[in-house]
Amino acid sequence: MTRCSTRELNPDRRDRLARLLRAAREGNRDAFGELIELLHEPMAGLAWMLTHHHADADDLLQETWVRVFTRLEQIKDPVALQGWLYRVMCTTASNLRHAEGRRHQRERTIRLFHDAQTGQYQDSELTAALEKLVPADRAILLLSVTHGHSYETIADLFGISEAAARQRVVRARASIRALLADTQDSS
Amino acid sequence: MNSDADKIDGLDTRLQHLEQARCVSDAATTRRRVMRRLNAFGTAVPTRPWKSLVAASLVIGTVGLASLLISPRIEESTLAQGDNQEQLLVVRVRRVAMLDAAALDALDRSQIGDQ
Repeated sequence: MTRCSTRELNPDRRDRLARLLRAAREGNRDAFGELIELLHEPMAGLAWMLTHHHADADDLLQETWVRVFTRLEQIKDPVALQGWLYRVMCTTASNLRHAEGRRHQRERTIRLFHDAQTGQYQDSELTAALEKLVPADRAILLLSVTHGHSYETIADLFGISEAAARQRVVRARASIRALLADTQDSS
Repeated sequence: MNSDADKIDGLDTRLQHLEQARCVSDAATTRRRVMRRLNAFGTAVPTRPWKSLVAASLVIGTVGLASLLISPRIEESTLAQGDNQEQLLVVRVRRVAMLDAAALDALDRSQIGDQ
Protein backbone atom coordinates (compact mmCIF):
# COMPACT_ATOMS: atom_id res chain seq x y z
CA MET A 1 0.00 0.00 0.00
CA THR A 2 1.30 3.45 -0.83
CA ARG A 3 1.92 5.97 1.91
CA CYS A 4 0.93 9.12 0.08
CA SER A 5 -0.14 11.04 3.20
CA THR A 6 3.30 10.87 4.75
CA ARG A 7 5.04 11.06 1.42
CA GLU A 8 3.64 14.57 1.29
CA LEU A 9 5.84 15.47 4.28
CA ASN A 10 9.10 17.14 3.42
CA PRO A 11 12.25 15.10 4.20
CA ASP A 12 13.31 17.39 7.07
CA ARG A 13 10.01 16.98 8.85
CA ARG A 14 10.03 13.24 8.24
CA ASP A 15 13.55 12.95 9.66
CA ARG A 16 12.58 15.02 12.66
CA LEU A 17 9.54 12.80 13.26
CA ALA A 18 11.69 9.68 13.03
CA ARG A 19 14.25 11.14 15.45
CA LEU A 20 11.59 12.18 17.96
CA LEU A 21 9.79 8.86 17.70
CA ARG A 22 13.02 6.95 18.36
CA ALA A 23 13.88 9.13 21.35
CA ALA A 24 10.32 8.91 22.74
CA ARG A 25 10.42 5.13 22.48
CA GLU A 26 13.59 5.19 24.56
CA GLY A 27 11.67 7.03 27.27
CA ASN A 28 12.56 10.62 26.42
CA ARG A 29 9.50 12.59 27.48
CA ASP A 30 10.72 15.87 26.05
CA ALA A 31 10.89 14.19 22.66
CA PHE A 32 7.36 12.89 23.16
CA GLY A 33 6.24 16.41 24.06
CA GLU A 34 7.78 17.74 20.86
CA LEU A 35 5.98 15.01 18.95
CA ILE A 36 2.69 16.18 20.44
CA GLU A 37 3.34 19.75 19.32
CA LEU A 38 4.56 18.73 15.88
CA LEU A 39 1.47 16.63 15.17
CA HIS A 40 -1.02 18.82 17.02
CA GLU A 41 -2.71 20.29 13.97
CA PRO A 42 -3.92 17.06 12.31
CA MET A 43 -4.65 15.40 15.66
CA ALA A 44 -6.66 18.35 16.99
CA GLY A 45 -8.50 18.49 13.67
CA LEU A 46 -9.49 14.86 13.94
CA ALA A 47 -10.45 15.23 17.62
CA TRP A 48 -12.76 18.06 16.63
CA MET A 49 -14.27 16.03 13.79
CA LEU A 50 -15.01 13.21 16.19
CA THR A 51 -16.59 15.33 18.91
CA HIS A 52 -17.57 18.82 17.69
CA HIS A 53 -17.24 20.00 21.24
CA HIS A 54 -14.37 21.89 22.86
CA ALA A 55 -14.04 19.98 26.15
CA ASP A 56 -14.69 16.58 24.53
CA ALA A 57 -12.11 17.24 21.83
CA ASP A 58 -9.53 18.20 24.47
CA ASP A 59 -10.31 15.07 26.50
CA LEU A 60 -10.03 12.89 23.41
CA LEU A 61 -6.74 14.50 22.41
CA GLN A 62 -5.22 13.93 25.84
CA GLU A 63 -6.52 10.39 26.17
CA THR A 64 -5.19 9.52 22.73
CA TRP A 65 -1.70 10.87 23.44
CA VAL A 66 -1.56 9.01 26.76
CA ARG A 67 -2.50 5.79 24.94
CA VAL A 68 0.02 6.50 22.23
CA PHE A 69 2.73 6.89 24.87
CA THR A 70 1.95 3.47 26.29
CA ARG A 71 2.01 1.84 22.83
CA LEU A 72 5.02 3.56 21.28
CA GLU A 73 6.82 0.26 20.79
CA GLN A 74 4.08 -0.79 18.34
CA ILE A 75 5.04 1.79 15.76
CA LYS A 76 8.36 1.04 14.12
CA ASP A 77 8.03 3.00 10.89
CA PRO A 78 7.66 6.80 11.24
CA VAL A 79 6.22 6.88 7.71
CA ALA A 80 3.12 5.12 9.01
CA LEU A 81 2.91 7.26 12.15
CA GLN A 82 0.08 9.59 11.23
CA GLY A 83 -2.23 6.83 10.03
CA TRP A 84 -1.51 4.86 13.18
CA LEU A 85 -2.26 7.92 15.35
CA TYR A 86 -5.55 8.43 13.52
CA ARG A 87 -6.56 4.83 14.13
CA VAL A 88 -5.61 5.06 17.82
CA MET A 89 -7.72 8.20 18.12
CA CYS A 90 -10.73 6.59 16.45
CA THR A 91 -10.47 3.58 18.75
CA THR A 92 -10.09 5.86 21.77
CA ALA A 93 -13.12 7.88 20.66
CA SER A 94 -15.09 4.67 20.30
CA ASN A 95 -14.10 3.51 23.79
CA LEU A 96 -14.82 6.88 25.34
CA ARG A 97 -18.18 6.97 23.61
CA HIS A 98 -19.14 3.58 25.03
CA ALA A 99 -17.92 4.50 28.48
CA GLU A 100 -19.53 7.89 28.58
CA GLY A 101 -22.59 7.27 26.42
CA ARG A 102 -25.11 8.10 29.07
CA ARG A 103 -23.25 11.08 30.44
CA HIS A 104 -22.87 12.35 26.90
CA GLN A 105 -26.58 12.23 26.19
CA ARG A 106 -27.37 13.99 29.46
CA GLU A 107 -24.87 16.76 28.86
CA ARG A 108 -25.78 17.27 25.24
CA THR A 109 -28.73 19.51 25.98
CA ILE A 110 -26.62 21.63 28.32
CA ARG A 111 -23.85 21.83 25.73
CA LEU A 112 -26.11 22.98 22.91
CA PHE A 113 -27.48 25.68 25.17
CA HIS A 114 -23.93 26.73 26.05
CA ASP A 115 -22.93 26.85 22.37
CA ALA A 116 -25.86 29.11 21.65
CA GLN A 117 -24.79 31.36 24.52
CA THR A 118 -21.22 31.67 23.26
CA GLY A 119 -22.33 32.29 19.73
CA GLN A 120 -20.32 29.35 18.43
CA TYR A 121 -21.70 27.94 15.19
CA GLN A 122 -23.92 25.00 15.89
CA ASP A 123 -26.01 22.70 13.82
CA SER A 124 -27.62 20.49 16.41
CA GLU A 125 -29.40 18.24 13.91
CA LEU A 126 -26.23 17.61 11.94
CA THR A 127 -24.10 17.15 15.07
CA ALA A 128 -26.62 14.64 16.43
CA ALA A 129 -26.64 12.76 13.13
CA LEU A 130 -22.81 12.69 13.03
CA GLU A 131 -22.71 11.36 16.58
CA LYS A 132 -24.63 8.31 15.42
CA LEU A 133 -21.88 7.27 13.01
CA VAL A 134 -19.05 5.15 14.35
CA PRO A 135 -15.99 7.39 14.92
CA ALA A 136 -13.97 6.02 11.99
CA ASP A 137 -16.83 6.56 9.51
CA ARG A 138 -17.40 10.03 10.86
CA ALA A 139 -13.71 10.89 10.44
CA ILE A 140 -13.58 9.37 6.96
CA LEU A 141 -16.62 11.35 5.83
CA LEU A 142 -15.30 14.65 7.20
CA LEU A 143 -11.77 14.13 5.91
CA SER A 144 -13.26 13.63 2.48
CA VAL A 145 -15.96 16.30 2.48
CA THR A 146 -14.57 19.13 4.55
CA HIS A 147 -10.83 18.60 4.22
CA GLY A 148 -10.86 17.46 0.60
CA HIS A 149 -8.58 14.48 1.19
CA SER A 150 -8.50 11.97 -1.64
CA TYR A 151 -9.78 8.44 -1.18
CA GLU A 152 -6.21 7.30 -1.65
CA THR A 153 -5.01 9.39 1.30
CA ILE A 154 -7.92 8.27 3.47
CA ALA A 155 -7.31 4.64 2.56
CA ASP A 156 -3.68 5.11 3.55
CA LEU A 157 -4.51 6.77 6.87
CA PHE A 158 -7.04 4.15 7.92
CA GLY A 159 -5.28 1.12 6.53
CA ILE A 160 -8.13 0.20 4.16
CA SER A 161 -8.44 -0.10 0.38
CA GLU A 162 -9.31 2.89 -1.77
CA ALA A 163 -12.58 1.23 -2.81
CA ALA A 164 -13.49 0.67 0.84
CA ALA A 165 -12.75 4.34 1.62
CA ARG A 166 -15.03 5.45 -1.22
CA GLN A 167 -17.74 3.07 -0.11
CA ARG A 168 -17.59 4.26 3.50
CA VAL A 169 -17.88 7.92 2.44
CA VAL A 170 -20.92 7.10 0.31
CA ARG A 171 -22.46 5.03 3.09
CA ALA A 172 -21.80 7.67 5.78
CA ARG A 173 -23.25 10.39 3.59
CA ALA A 174 -26.38 8.30 2.96
CA SER A 175 -26.74 7.60 6.70
CA ILE A 176 -26.45 11.29 7.56
CA ARG A 177 -28.99 12.21 4.93
CA ALA A 178 -31.43 9.56 6.20
CA LEU A 179 -30.97 10.68 9.81
CA LEU A 180 -31.57 14.32 8.87
CA ALA A 181 -34.70 13.34 6.95
CA ASP A 182 -35.96 11.39 9.99
CA THR A 183 -35.40 14.42 12.21
CA GLN A 184 -37.30 16.69 9.84
CA ASP A 185 -40.18 14.19 9.56
CA SER A 186 -40.52 13.89 13.32
CA SER A 187 -40.42 17.65 13.96
CA MET B 1 -16.54 13.97 -5.59
CA ASN B 2 -19.82 15.69 -4.79
CA SER B 3 -23.00 14.60 -6.44
CA ASP B 4 -25.75 16.97 -7.50
CA ALA B 5 -27.86 15.77 -4.60
CA ASP B 6 -25.20 17.07 -2.17
CA LYS B 7 -25.30 20.50 -3.74
CA ILE B 8 -29.09 20.61 -3.59
CA ASP B 9 -29.54 19.72 0.08
CA GLY B 10 -26.38 21.57 1.14
CA LEU B 11 -25.07 18.72 3.29
CA ASP B 12 -21.46 19.46 2.40
CA THR B 13 -21.87 23.15 3.16
CA ARG B 14 -23.36 22.35 6.54
CA LEU B 15 -20.53 19.95 7.30
CA GLN B 16 -17.97 22.57 6.28
CA HIS B 17 -19.54 25.20 8.54
CA LEU B 18 -19.39 22.78 11.42
CA GLU B 19 -15.69 22.20 10.79
CA GLN B 20 -14.92 25.90 10.54
CA ALA B 21 -16.24 26.44 14.05
CA ARG B 22 -13.36 24.31 15.34
CA CYS B 23 -12.43 24.99 18.92
CA VAL B 24 -9.61 22.93 20.47
CA SER B 25 -6.77 23.88 22.83
CA ASP B 26 -3.43 24.89 21.30
CA ALA B 27 -0.43 22.60 20.95
CA ALA B 28 1.44 23.87 24.02
CA THR B 29 -1.60 23.47 26.27
CA THR B 30 -2.22 19.94 25.01
CA ARG B 31 1.42 19.03 25.56
CA ARG B 32 1.34 20.42 29.11
CA ARG B 33 -1.82 18.51 29.98
CA VAL B 34 -0.61 15.21 28.52
CA MET B 35 2.72 15.55 30.33
CA ARG B 36 0.94 16.26 33.60
CA ARG B 37 -1.08 13.07 33.18
CA LEU B 38 1.97 11.02 32.27
CA ASN B 39 3.86 12.38 35.26
CA ALA B 40 0.96 11.41 37.49
CA PHE B 41 1.35 7.82 36.24
CA GLY B 42 5.08 7.69 37.03
CA THR B 43 7.65 6.25 34.66
CA ALA B 44 5.83 3.09 33.66
CA VAL B 45 2.22 3.26 32.60
CA PRO B 46 0.36 0.00 33.13
CA THR B 47 -1.62 -0.17 29.91
CA ARG B 48 -3.49 -3.42 30.37
CA PRO B 49 -3.14 -4.70 33.91
CA TRP B 50 -5.60 -7.51 33.16
CA LYS B 51 -2.99 -9.02 30.86
CA SER B 52 -0.54 -9.39 33.74
CA LEU B 53 -3.30 -10.86 35.91
CA VAL B 54 -4.25 -13.42 33.26
CA ALA B 55 -0.59 -14.35 32.74
CA ALA B 56 -0.05 -14.74 36.49
CA SER B 57 -3.22 -16.86 36.82
CA LEU B 58 -2.08 -19.11 33.99
CA VAL B 59 1.34 -19.64 35.57
CA ILE B 60 -0.16 -20.33 39.01
CA GLY B 61 -2.79 -22.64 37.49
CA THR B 62 -0.24 -24.59 35.48
CA VAL B 63 2.14 -25.01 38.42
CA GLY B 64 -0.77 -26.02 40.68
CA LEU B 65 -2.09 -28.59 38.22
CA ALA B 66 1.38 -30.01 37.67
CA SER B 67 1.88 -30.44 41.40
CA LEU B 68 -1.54 -32.11 41.67
CA LEU B 69 -0.56 -34.57 39.00
CA ILE B 70 2.95 -35.28 40.19
CA SER B 71 2.78 -35.45 44.00
CA PRO B 72 0.08 -38.18 44.32
CA ARG B 73 1.98 -40.28 41.81
CA ILE B 74 5.09 -40.08 43.96
CA GLU B 75 2.98 -41.04 46.97
CA GLU B 76 1.40 -43.87 44.97
CA SER B 77 4.70 -45.31 43.90
CA THR B 78 5.98 -45.16 47.50
CA LEU B 79 2.86 -46.96 48.75
CA ALA B 80 2.99 -49.52 45.97
CA GLN B 81 6.53 -50.39 47.03
CA GLY B 82 5.30 -50.78 50.62
CA ASP B 83 2.58 -53.15 49.43
CA ASN B 84 -0.20 -51.24 51.28
CA GLN B 85 -3.14 -51.69 48.88
CA GLU B 86 -5.76 -49.98 51.09
CA GLN B 87 -3.80 -46.74 51.44
CA LEU B 88 -2.98 -46.89 47.74
CA LEU B 89 -6.69 -46.99 46.88
CA VAL B 90 -7.40 -43.98 49.14
CA VAL B 91 -4.64 -41.96 47.48
CA ARG B 92 -5.93 -42.84 43.99
CA VAL B 93 -9.51 -41.83 44.88
CA ARG B 94 -8.21 -38.59 46.36
CA ARG B 95 -6.20 -37.84 43.19
CA VAL B 96 -9.24 -38.33 40.96
CA ALA B 97 -11.31 -36.05 43.24
CA MET B 98 -8.60 -33.38 43.16
CA LEU B 99 -8.39 -33.52 39.38
CA ASP B 100 -12.17 -33.16 39.14
CA ALA B 101 -12.04 -30.14 41.45
CA ALA B 102 -9.24 -28.60 39.39
CA ALA B 103 -11.19 -29.16 36.17
CA LEU B 104 -14.33 -27.60 37.66
CA ASP B 105 -12.30 -24.67 38.92
CA ALA B 106 -10.76 -24.15 35.45
CA LEU B 107 -14.24 -24.33 33.90
CA ASP B 108 -15.56 -21.72 36.34
CA ARG B 109 -12.66 -19.44 35.55
CA SER B 110 -13.13 -19.76 31.80
CA GLN B 111 -16.82 -18.92 32.18
CA ILE B 112 -15.98 -15.87 34.24
CA GLY B 113 -13.50 -14.89 31.49
CA ASP B 114 -16.25 -15.24 28.85
CA GLN B 115 -18.44 -12.81 30.76
